[in-house]
Amino acid sequence: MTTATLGDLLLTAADHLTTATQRSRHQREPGHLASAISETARAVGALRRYLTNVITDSGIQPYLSTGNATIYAAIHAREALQTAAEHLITAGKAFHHLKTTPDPDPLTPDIATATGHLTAGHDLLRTHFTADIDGIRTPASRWSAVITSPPVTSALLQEISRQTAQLWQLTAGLSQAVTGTSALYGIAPNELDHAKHWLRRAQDLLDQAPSHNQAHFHGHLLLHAVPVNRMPAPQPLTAPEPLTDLCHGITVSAGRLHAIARASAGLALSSPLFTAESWRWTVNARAVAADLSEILLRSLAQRVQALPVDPFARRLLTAAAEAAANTCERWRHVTAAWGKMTTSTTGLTAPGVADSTDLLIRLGRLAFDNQHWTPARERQAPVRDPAGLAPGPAQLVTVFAAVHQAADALASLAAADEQNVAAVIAARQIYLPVRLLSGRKYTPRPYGRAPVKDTAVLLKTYTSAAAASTELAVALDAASLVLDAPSKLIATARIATRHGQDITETGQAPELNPAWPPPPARYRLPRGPVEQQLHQLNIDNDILLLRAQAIDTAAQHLIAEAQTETSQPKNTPSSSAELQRKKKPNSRQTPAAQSFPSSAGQQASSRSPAASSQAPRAPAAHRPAQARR
Amino acid sequence: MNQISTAHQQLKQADGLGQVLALSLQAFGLLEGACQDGQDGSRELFAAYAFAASAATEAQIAIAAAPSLSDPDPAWPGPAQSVQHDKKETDPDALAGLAALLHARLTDAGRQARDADDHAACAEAAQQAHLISRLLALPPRP
Repeated sequence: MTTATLGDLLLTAADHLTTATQRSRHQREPGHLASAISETARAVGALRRYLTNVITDSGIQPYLSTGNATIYAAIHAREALQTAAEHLITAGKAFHHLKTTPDPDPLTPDIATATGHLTAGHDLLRTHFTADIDGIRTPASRWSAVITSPPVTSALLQEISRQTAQLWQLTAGLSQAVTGTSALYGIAPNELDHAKHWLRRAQDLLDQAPSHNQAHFHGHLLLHAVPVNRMPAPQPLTAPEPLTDLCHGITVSAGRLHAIARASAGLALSSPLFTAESWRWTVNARAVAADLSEILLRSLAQRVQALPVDPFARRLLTAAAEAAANTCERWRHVTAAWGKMTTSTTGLTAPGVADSTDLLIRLGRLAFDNQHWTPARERQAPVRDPAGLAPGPAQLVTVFAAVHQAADALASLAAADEQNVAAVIAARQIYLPVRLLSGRKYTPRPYGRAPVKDTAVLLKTYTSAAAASTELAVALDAASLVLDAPSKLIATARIATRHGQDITETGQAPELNPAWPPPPARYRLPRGPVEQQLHQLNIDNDILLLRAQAIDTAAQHLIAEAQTETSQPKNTPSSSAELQRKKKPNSRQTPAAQSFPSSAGQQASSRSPAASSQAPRAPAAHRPAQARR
Repeated sequence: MNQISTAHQQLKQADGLGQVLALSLQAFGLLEGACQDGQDGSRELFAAYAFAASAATEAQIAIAAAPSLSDPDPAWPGPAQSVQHDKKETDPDALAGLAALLHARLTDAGRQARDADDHAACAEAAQQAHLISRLLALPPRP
């Protein structure tokens, strides 16, 4: 069962309004017209409420600055719709005294259905916010930032403009029908004319807003994809599950983990549920999930060659696989940095442990050829045959989208964990068993505060690993666009909510919002040639620019691969997969790691435990994937 | 005889709560190191080794809080540094065997412990040992 999105509701409303408009010019009894006109007033009121939401956080800013011209236009459009609704109500009342039999023509039900869907859409948007006593909205979901982002706001205003135009048509039809009756309709025609005027005025205001032509297609894509804000019900593991169910289960867990990340950020100091044991466990889970993602992405990259899929996707999938390997290594460093440090409470109690487990196991069941796979050795199995994993393009996209969703959710959770661990470290609530320290004798207190140098290393490794997780998600963003995967919504949402945009959101600061962790901008490298060319052409379409970055990355991959191939003796492996096994993806010289999505991971590498003399016990110097192959 | 076998033998012969705890602490240190190295080996076993290593860490933290754990020799550099396991010792069967023995000895020790903290430490460490054993053991052949 799929959940209705805002797009579903708006499209249904538009369909019913179109149908109603076609019926509106038919001759009918005056009493029937009264109900249709009244219902039209309700529909106008429903649209007006959308505009109220758009402007709700702006305060008096639109009157103080010309930079808020879009909101200014929305304010006046809302007033115009309010006036139109009032005229429609007055017109409807002019017929109210006329008794009539039920209208056999479903004009009024059509308008009512449209109104219902518009109202439901508005309610859906409201689920993403909470309001305080002063009416100030606070984001309540990861979609809140998307809804208030400039591209989506522009798309919403365009949508309201379109629906307003439809209501104008409907009102014009009703007006024509009224003048065609022989009843004493009094002021009704005038009132309908006034309503039409104000509807047209509202539409003009919206169309003239500066944002009107700035709503790129991704704004509409996101607007139509906004779901109702509710945590999906957990999908318990069953075995065996077909691939599509595994992928769906991963998406469900990812949705739950996003909600958990949002709810848990900043709570560690006030909740005993956040334990070192839980953190150590989730760190491990992330390392394993990244490792499984690498396996899956390499299989998909291999499969692209045999399927009618954009061959460019192979290079992006390979780049993403390398990002996954890097992510795995970074989380292993975090495990090493935790060492024997602990917290005042114990147990696997932190929110997200159960959902991370479900997600991890399903990723494992995708990656390995065992429908009963668990991390236990007794369930070990060889890596699934790529042809079995993705027999066709549709399955390839489905599996890819699941990996993308998982990586994005784990990146959100990593950002939340980083905040929580930082808070606990700052409060000096990380401890170390005294007897595990060198040369310490037993004391009545079995735990002491962990040395600051150890906790500092721990925090640095978290920062590095969280950045690597985000890089993985961003690397997958690019591939999602090329594959046209459903998870491309993640890419568009990240672009829409990136830092530096004039987001009208209030409440939680963007840096405290782990919903769509942005790539670390400070690590951004110079543009590649394709991206440079687009900038020279004054292209500001973010999706095109992201694709350009991906093309530059793929080109660098190709060159690196060619260089590797020419430097190999004749009898060395020639396939891409074999080459990947032989090289060191985390080498500082690897072009892929230097370009897309960014080099955050590399920058942080020098701070990792392996490179630090303060390292508690670093994992192997080379990434595990290389040695394991 | 390698270190895993030695630890196995010593733990088998351990007598008294203090000794069981001390030897268990060392054995978990060995398991942790071996499981960390094991992660660099077989790709299929990466997850098993990763979670087993964490379980070994948790067990050491639990045992370190047990009041009956004998005081370390001041000259002793600490368990983490003292146990230098051989990197080749990642045979999962051997590790699972040691974990199973740890589970058995710590469960027994916990039953006999009079101090609540000792009891809790043994129970927690035994549970972690059981987890390691389950992660690394193959099912018995019919």
